[in-house]
Parts: sequence; structure tokens; C-alpha cells
Amino acid sequence: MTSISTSQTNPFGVIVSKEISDTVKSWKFIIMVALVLLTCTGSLVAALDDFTAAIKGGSADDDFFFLKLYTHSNGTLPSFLVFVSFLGPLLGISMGFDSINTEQNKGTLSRLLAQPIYRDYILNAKFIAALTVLSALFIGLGLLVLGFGLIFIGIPPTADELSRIIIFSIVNIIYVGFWLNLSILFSVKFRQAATSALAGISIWLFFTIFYTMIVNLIAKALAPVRFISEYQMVSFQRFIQSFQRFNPGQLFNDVTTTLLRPSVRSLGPLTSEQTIGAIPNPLPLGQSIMLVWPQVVALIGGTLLFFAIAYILFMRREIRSR
Amino acid sequence: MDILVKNITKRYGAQKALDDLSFEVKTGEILGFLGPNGAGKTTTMKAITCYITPNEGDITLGGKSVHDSPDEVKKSIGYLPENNPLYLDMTILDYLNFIGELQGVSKSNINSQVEKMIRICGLDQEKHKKIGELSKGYKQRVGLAQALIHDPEVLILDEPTTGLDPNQIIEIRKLIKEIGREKTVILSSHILAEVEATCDRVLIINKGKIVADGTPESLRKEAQGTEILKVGLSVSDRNEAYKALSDIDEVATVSFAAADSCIFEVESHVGKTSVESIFKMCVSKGWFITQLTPMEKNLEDVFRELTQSAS
Repeated sequence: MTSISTSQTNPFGVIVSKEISDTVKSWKFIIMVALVLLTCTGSLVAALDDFTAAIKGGSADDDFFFLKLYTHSNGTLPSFLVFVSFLGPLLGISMGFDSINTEQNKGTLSRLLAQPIYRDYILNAKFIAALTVLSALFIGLGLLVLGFGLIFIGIPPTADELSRIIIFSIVNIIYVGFWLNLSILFSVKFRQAATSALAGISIWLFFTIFYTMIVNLIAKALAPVRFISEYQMVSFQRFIQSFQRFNPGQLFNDVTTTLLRPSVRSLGPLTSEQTIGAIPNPLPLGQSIMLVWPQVVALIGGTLLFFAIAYILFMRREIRSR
Repeated sequence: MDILVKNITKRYGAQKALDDLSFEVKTGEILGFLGPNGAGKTTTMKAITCYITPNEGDITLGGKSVHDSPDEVKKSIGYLPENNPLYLDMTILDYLNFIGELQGVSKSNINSQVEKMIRICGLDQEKHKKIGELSKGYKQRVGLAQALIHDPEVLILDEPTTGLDPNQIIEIRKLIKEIGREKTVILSSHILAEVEATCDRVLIINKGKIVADGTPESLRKEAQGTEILKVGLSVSDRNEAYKALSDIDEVATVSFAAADSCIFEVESHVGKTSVESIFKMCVSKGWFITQLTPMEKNLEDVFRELTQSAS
């Protein structure tokens, strides 16, 4: 063998860059990005349409002009936040549902594994590449809204607003990463890409539409009798809310609402005693983060759990060529 | 680089795909791997390329074990798997660059190495095309180019000419022969003529075990056993010729090769040849010999004999 193997490139980086290039060129990504861009631009226009009405005063959030861009809408279209929480999971699922099974069905997985690389490089690279693309997309979207806001409002965002927007973008990435990992898990588990896509969409639909209905049914069945103490009612509400928080969408909504609406001071039920004397001031960023930290950790935990299961399944699997 | 396969066994559940298989391939040798479907050819190749791990036994390439240093082994192997899976959306240049980088070819060398492979495999006109747009023959060339991109010492080709037209088959065979001058090549194929035309040595495998090992020539001779001659005589009475041939001491059996012709198949006794006696008999009777040809078994006969008797 000639001496051509010196100062070699890092194979992991090579696979990641190939995956990024493949993703960016793929039609599914182009379609999803077009959809996200279109809807988010629409929601931005809807937010700016009656922006003056939104900040005319009377609420603790009215001083946060830039955050209003993400949460406000004139009613013709849902807000940017609603669109992201709706389309984000779809974007995550679309990026991962065919990552392993398609390679296996085409036989290219066996070709890759015949190269001098570790097996887990493939799975890790798929995840990192998709997450990199998604991060670029969401940071880009966040900055786009910020940029439009700057042009429209004419004043720069405060440090608190900028920090909240950056953290909001990071939470978006974590949330989409959660669905991405779930769909990667399905792509390892199911041989057919269509099956894994359907499984991913089914779970998303279940949590988006049916889960809340199921929780409501449970709440109705377990609802306490009319004459109970205030504390019993609070503990019942907490119980129902705990059920709701098995829904990743609920966790995401808790986090983003708290981050983008600094006036949110609590995510759980409060007794009237607890609210007496409370000044409707916005929470500082640190306090808002403390409030939603469990939700953020739960989302990261779910993401890691799905990735770990996908990793174990992939590493233990015997991969035969077609 | 020598390849040494030592007593490897691979099980899929209760089924043994490889059963205590051992053989050696010397540097610069082209080894043909023959066997019916499910014999264990592809499994053996995958075990050599570290793609699957045998349950028992070991494989060494140039002294390096697939168990101990799989990365080193993979770097010294170029592998063209069955069906030649490729990334159809990539151009030839991008694909070869990608595989070259994975194989650890340095950045300074990769462009020259890709260009070299494109030249060797005759892909110059097509290098900017997407792989999905290529004909099957060109795709096979891309597969060969990727197997050779890191200049490996060992080349493993799993049915490299499957699905190609005769012209493409001849071109690929020629290419393999050229490559085989410098590298150790293991090639599997169902086309026996291909193995006979390309390989220095043939290994026939059936049910995970080696049933024959040798040059195509030696295998034919080994399977030959007794001498069989095709004898054509210019005589008016074919029955008289039949009797005369049967009377020769060295001849065991005589049969008519075709109805209404004076062509016979003459089988000699084991270890004896009857060519001289037939010639002398014809001279003494004044018969003209139109044909006297030894009937050789081809590799196909050997293959059928070995794999059918074993099953």
C-alpha cells in the first residue's frame, strides 16, 4: 500500500458534512422549510398588522415589544409561537423518519460499515447533522423575526428580550430534537420508511389532538364532589396537570409561554390566598428560567432516552445487505 | 498481503453458514470463490471485511486479526459488495471523495487519488454525472473505483459482473486481471467461465465447507478420473468399428456419440490410456480417423459434481 493514508480527515466530520449536504438538497427538507418560512412570515405579518393595539398598555407584558412579535396575532393567522409548536414536531419527524431504514434498504448502510469507521458514527452523525440544520433554521427564523421587528419598531431589543429570544430558540431546537430522536428511533426499529413516518405522525397526532381529550375525560371521571376544600381542589388540579405534562407539547408550551410572557409567574394552580398582594410585575429572566427548568429537563431527558434506545437497538442489530 | 482464514464458524440461530472454514490466499493471487446460493460465499467475504464477526476462528490479513485490529484490516481491504449499493444522488466525484475521506486518504492526496481511479476505471466522461443516471456497467465501475480509492492491498469482489452485458463483463474482467497483478483479489461468482478466465485458483464452497481447492486445471484433472475419448472413424459398417474398439484391452466402454454416425465415446480403464491402441488398430484395419479428441470435464461439471454430491 502506498503512503496515502497520512494526515487523514476525521471520518465522523465527513459523514456529518455529507448528511448535512444530503439534507439541505433533499426535497422533503426544502418543502418543510418552505412551509415553515411561509407560515412564520404570515404570522409575523399578522403580528405586525395591529401591533400598536397589542402594546397600548394595561398588561405587564406590554413593555416587551419584541416578545410580542412571537406571541401576538391579529386573529387572521395563529402567532409565530403557535406555528412553531405545531410545525416543529413535523419538521423533526420529517428529518429523521428515514435516516437508518432507507440506508439499509438501499444497501448503502453495509457499504458504509465496510469502511474503517465505528458503527455509532453513523447514528450519531445522522442526529448531529439533522440537529445542526434545524438549529440553523430556528436561529435563522428567530433572527428574521427580530430583524423585522427592528425595522418596524425602530428601537433595539433590551438585553432581557434578546436573552429570552435566544433561550426560546434553544428550547425550540430541544423540542424539535425530541421529535427528531423519536423518528430516528422509529427509523431504526421499522424496516420501511413509510411505517416509521406513520408511527411518528401518529404519536404526534395522539399528543396534539387526543391526549388532551383523554386527560379531560379522566379529569371528568375523577372530579371531586362539589363541597371540597380549596387545598383538595388545588391538589386535584395538580394531579390533572401532571397528567398533561406527559405531553411534550404541553411541556414546550409551558416553557415558551413563560419565556415569552414574563408576566407569567406560576404554571400551577394557585389559591386565592397565594395571589393576594401579588404585584403583576414581569418576572426577571432568571426566575422565568427557574420556573420552567423542570419542563426543559424533561424535554432533554425524553430526547436522550429516545436516542439511547435508538443507539442500543442500532448497535445490537445485525445488518445484512439486501 | 496474505489472507489467512483459520477455522471460522458463523451461526445464524441454529443454522451454520460457515462450518470450520479454513484457507489461505497468497499475495498477488486471484482467488475465485464458487458455490451454490446460500453456500457461505458472501458470509465469508463479509467476515474477511470485518462486516460480521465469526462465532469461532480468526482471520488475519498480513498478520493482523479481524478481532484485534478491525480498523487496520478494513483500511487494507477494498470491498465491492453484492448488488453494489451506491448513493444515487451523489456525483461520481463527490462519492469517490466521500469514500476516500472515510478510508483515511489524506486531503492532499484525495484529489489525485480520485482522478487516478476515474482514469483506471474509465469514468472520465461521466465523472460529473449523478450515479443514478449511469448505466449498470458504469455503476459497477464506480463500485470498483470506490473499492480501490485508498489503494488497498486486498480486493474483495462479491459477484462483480452480475447484471452486466457481455461487453461490460469482458471489460470488468480485464480490469480485475490488471488489478490482480499487484493485489490479492478474492472474487465470488456464479459464472464459472468467469472464474476460469480470471482466477489463478478456485475454491468451491458448499454448506459452509470447502469441497474443492485448486487451479481450474487441477480441479478438472482431479475430477476427470478416467480418460474419455471422442473417436470418429470413416468406415462403412459402424457396428464393426464398435466391436473393434470394444476389443481393445485398455478400453472399458464404448458408446455411440450420435445416432447414424460413426462417432464414438470411448472410456478407458482407470489409469490407462487407449489413444495409441486405437491408432494402431485403425492403421492395421486401414480405417481413416476423422476425430480423436480427449473429452475434458469443464469447471461446470466439477462444480455440479461437487455441490450436488455434497447435498
